[in-house]
Amino acid sequence: MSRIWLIMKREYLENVRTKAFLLGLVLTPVWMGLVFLVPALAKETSKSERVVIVDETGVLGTPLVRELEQVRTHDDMPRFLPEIIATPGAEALAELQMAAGQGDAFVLMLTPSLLDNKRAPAVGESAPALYGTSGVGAMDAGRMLETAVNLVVNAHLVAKHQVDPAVAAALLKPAVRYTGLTAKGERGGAAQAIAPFLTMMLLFMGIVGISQMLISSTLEEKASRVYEVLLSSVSPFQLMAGKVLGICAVGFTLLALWSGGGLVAASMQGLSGLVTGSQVGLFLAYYVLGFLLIASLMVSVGSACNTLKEAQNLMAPISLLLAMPMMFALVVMRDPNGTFATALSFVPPFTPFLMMARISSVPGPPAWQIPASLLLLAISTYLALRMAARVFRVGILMYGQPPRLKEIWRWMRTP
Amino acid sequence: MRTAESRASDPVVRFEGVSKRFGDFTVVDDVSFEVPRGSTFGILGSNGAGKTTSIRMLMNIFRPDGGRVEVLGSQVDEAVKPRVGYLPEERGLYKKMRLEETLRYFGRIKGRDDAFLTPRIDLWLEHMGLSGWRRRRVEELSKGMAQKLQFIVTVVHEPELLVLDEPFAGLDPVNRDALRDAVLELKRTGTTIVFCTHVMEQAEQLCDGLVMLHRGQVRLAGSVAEVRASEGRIAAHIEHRLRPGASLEGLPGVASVDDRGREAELTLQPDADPAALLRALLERGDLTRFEIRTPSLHEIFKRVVGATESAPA
Repeated sequence: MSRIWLIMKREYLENVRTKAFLLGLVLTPVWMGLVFLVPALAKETSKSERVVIVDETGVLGTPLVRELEQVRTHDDMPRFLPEIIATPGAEALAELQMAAGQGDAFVLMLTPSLLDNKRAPAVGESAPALYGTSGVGAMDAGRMLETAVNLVVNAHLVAKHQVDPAVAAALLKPAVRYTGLTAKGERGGAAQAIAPFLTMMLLFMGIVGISQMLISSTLEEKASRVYEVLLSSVSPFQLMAGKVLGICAVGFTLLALWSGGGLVAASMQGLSGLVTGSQVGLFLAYYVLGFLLIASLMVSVGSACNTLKEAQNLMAPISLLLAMPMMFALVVMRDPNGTFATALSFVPPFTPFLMMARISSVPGPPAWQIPASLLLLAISTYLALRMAARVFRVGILMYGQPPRLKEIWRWMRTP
Repeated sequence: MRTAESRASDPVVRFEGVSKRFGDFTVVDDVSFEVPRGSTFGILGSNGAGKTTSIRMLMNIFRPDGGRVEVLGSQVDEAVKPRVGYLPEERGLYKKMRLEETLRYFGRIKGRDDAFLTPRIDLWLEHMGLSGWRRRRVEELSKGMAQKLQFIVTVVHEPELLVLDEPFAGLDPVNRDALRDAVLELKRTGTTIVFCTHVMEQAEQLCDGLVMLHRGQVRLAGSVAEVRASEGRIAAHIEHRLRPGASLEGLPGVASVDDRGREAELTLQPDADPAALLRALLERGDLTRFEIRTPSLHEIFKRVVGATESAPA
């Protein structure tokens, strides 16, 4: 045991002392922040959009222009530049639609059917329409235009039918607003909504990102031919266990610093109750078991190969497998306790990520699924480590041609 | 420290009919030998003779397919490993680690504590002329210095048994002598030493006992004197300056010639007449040396290898 400890300590210190570690420690939260901040900032566009209004009603155009001119960007520029044009011919209309499709302008058709209580237009009669580009960026502007048109048409109808202004105002107001709560019943808002995603990202970086260090570390030691010297002091299993645990501790350090920092920041924002003590405990359990499972793959690949290139070839299918939980993330978060999410979270390589995503969702998974998934994960991890130890034992002394998968499979079955 | 259960008379290493195959190829074939405590033992042979494979089986890095390997009374397991020091054929250390750190790390995984290691690290670094480098990283060392460091890694925990695979390969004469002196010093303090080499002169200087392997099989075994005498032949060692056009071909009673330029070793036929040979040599030029003796290991080795090389395998 003391030898495993010595090997673990060396592996840990060697990797923690590198600049790459410090860089990862600092840059990852920055990167994560950008992922969330950039779209929020990008929403606040300062572009002024042309809106071409074809007003066949003769009454809606002017109030709509007035309404649109009030919308300002965050740096107090007009958000829309509306202009009313005469009814175009078929050719001119096609040209306008093309301009709309290319994002040069929004084209709005106000037709008489709107004035008639927004009835459906008869055959041959022109229909109201709002055209713009199909790009994601235009959607916000499109929604604002929809709201403005609705407001103007409704105001016209209210006046036309002489509706009581109090009733009219009431009709235009939303009746209730949705509020998301934390597990402790406090207002969590956005923080609670992104918690499953954040938890999953953290685990993913801690497990998949960090365990890859084992490949380079094993390859380097193989290239420097240090294994034979080490094997004259320790057994192959002690060596592998020390290395895997050392890198596991590196990942743990990163996760502890990140999530510790994150929680401090959250509590300074007045957010508490986002994470419960049992969630932290489960996070640790899933992290350690998940890490050891994935690490056994990494250490097998590293020991069987001689160069980074060989390792990358072997890694290609494994990477695909490891990326899968992230691809399923949205589906799982939309319905954390659905059949799909439940089934996937019992596939061992996905278990840590998907189970933690489900646990940090509200409501959490049924209680029995947590110990059941942990047990299944623990058994798979034990088997994977045993296989890895067999590959490691042979692989670290093999030089020259990289082994074929068939040969690696033979190593795995040799006790 | 000697453990109670192993007595001084027990061999430190015992190979009993050991074989190893890689696929269809038999690398080591029914090899047996014993290494007595305190002796220096050589495993000799050319490249591919099975020396390194034998050593790796001794270290339990490879498992034999047949036979039995015993080291200090048992298989090399985690209990025996601290009592053995191993210098592999492929030298390797952590490049980014500092010298002192390296020695401390490898000493610790051999089970020694700092109180034991610190004075010995100082002593060995001093002894090998590396004191000034103790805070440098391994990657900064020259090849010769790295080899010396690797040797200290092998011995710093004071093993009872030292296993050295080609210990002198790649060293310049000065470093080779420094290493040889260190080995002899350890031998004097009672360390048992097993080493393998393809340089017969080194074996001749250091070994008490030896086995000579060829194609995985033991061809010769015993002490250096026994092996040389077992040949039943004698050799003439000469230093010469032949007249232009003259050669060492066709000399009377000579079985084979190892011409090294100014020197030559002539293996004689059993019935050869040294006096007739001397006269024949003097007819061809000047001699500065003419010595009749048992053949060197080098000559014997060449004969052993040559005999099988010419015969179909």
